[in-house]
Amino acid sequence: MQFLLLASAMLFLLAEPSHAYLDPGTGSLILQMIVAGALTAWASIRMFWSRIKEFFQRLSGAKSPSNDGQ
Amino acid sequence: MTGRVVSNSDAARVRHAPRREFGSFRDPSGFLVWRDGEIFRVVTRYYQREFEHATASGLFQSAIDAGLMLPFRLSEVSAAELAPGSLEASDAVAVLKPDRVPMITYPYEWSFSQLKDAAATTLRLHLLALKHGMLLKDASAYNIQFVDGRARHIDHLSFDPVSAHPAWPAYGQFCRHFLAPLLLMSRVDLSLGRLSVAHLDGVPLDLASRLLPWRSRLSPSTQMHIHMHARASEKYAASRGLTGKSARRLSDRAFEAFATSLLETVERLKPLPQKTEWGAYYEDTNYSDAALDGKKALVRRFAERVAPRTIWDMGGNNGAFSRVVCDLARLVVCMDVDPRAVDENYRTCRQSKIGNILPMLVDLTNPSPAIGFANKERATLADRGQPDLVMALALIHHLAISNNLPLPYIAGYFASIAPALLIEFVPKSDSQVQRLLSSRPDIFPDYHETGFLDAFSSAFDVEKSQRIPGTERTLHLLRRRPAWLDTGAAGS
Repeated sequence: MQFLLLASAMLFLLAEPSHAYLDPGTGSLILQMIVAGALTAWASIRMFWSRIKEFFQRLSGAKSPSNDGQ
Repeated sequence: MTGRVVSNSDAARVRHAPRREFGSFRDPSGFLVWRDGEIFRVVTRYYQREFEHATASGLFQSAIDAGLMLPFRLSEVSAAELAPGSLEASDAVAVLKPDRVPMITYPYEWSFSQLKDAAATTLRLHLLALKHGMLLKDASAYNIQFVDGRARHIDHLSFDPVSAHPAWPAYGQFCRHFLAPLLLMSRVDLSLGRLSVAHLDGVPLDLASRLLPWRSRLSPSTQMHIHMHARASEKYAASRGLTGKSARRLSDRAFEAFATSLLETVERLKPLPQKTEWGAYYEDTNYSDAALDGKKALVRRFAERVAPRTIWDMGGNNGAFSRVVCDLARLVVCMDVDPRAVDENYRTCRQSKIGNILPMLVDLTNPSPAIGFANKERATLADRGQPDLVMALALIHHLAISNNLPLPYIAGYFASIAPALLIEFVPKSDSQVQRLLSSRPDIFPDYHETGFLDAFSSAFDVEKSQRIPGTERTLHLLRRRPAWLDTGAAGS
């Protein structure tokens, strides 16, 4: 999933040779704009998934993984 | 802003006029001033709102409590006293007194795990700032120092309100200063951390992208943060700022997702399992267990006679002997040329919670130079501290025989660093020296105990010598001759 989103983001970046003179910081900002959606979606999916897992773990009475080894 | 601070060694505690720290010229938010061996940070009115926000929101306190940031207090000293007559002093709104940093080290002197911990500290501090409505506006590796065994951020003026930025302004700098060298050390070669000497503002991403193996493109995080990042930097270098769609501001969740992705990437990285010259040194010596214990006891006894506050253990490998003497001093800086040995030392000290050993990657035949603008931004190794004792154990044969260094030069170098020297002489008959000589002609007629003592006698007096039990080696405690500083130092 994360890979597919990244692959599509890469299409934006098939660069023609540019004049490497000005501010390289702009590229860092634009890249964040391009991949922010993918990363936020990925973070949400993971949080959602961990909540589902926690829910079923609680149902089955198992210890939540974050408490292991405490 | 790069927050270079020079070590506040005790020897520097002489009364003299305040002196502006050269390395702190990049940021109008404030500047650093030395006075009587202590450093102060002056905050100017250009940073007043941000400083007040970081204080009132509790960010400073949380960062200090979490061990991410060097503690500081507000000082009674006025800016006018610190920078008399300067225009900037009239702009001052606060003077901070940060805690002492006993020895400054630079990223090119850190092992893999040290750089990794420094990167994690930077990201955790940024994430903490986001929770307080601020962000870390720069991610320079020079803003991190190891104090009490932990990587801590030392620049207290690095925060900006998150609302002032469309995206994380330090993203590029973070990848150049931390992620690129870490990936290169993890995938290509452990020695590539030294690239930072040549690239003061971090490893250029296009260079990192070309050096990394092709399969690194299959890792989504490396693809994004290095390869795509390098391409984006090239492609948009000529564009004039953000326009149209790209001028949107990231959501707060996106800011956090970005930093979390970087933190997870960093935490997953492992050092390359690479064989190095000295990485398994203590598994391959001619010391029996009894002889090693005897040497440890002797080293400790000799070091106790010096009552040192600071020790430099030069060629200290994985810190085995630094740990023998660390409770005798406030700080032991353990330097070695081998990245694996330095890394092992750092990890051992961290696990054992030893806070006063500072492992450092240093090639004694080519120690860190002064670099940066006017060669004044980053100091040489020798300019960063004045130890009371240098330990040079099982080192002399590598300097004299492997590196062809004349014994008087070696004596002069040690004498220029410290007033006391604990040195082990390893004779030609020793099997380790025989190994060195087996691959080179023996052009070292003066390399014997008497020749060694002769060569060192111009700079040092012998206080005590003793054969290490069960070996052919001798341990010497030498004291620098007072006259050497006046005469010998100039000629060495």
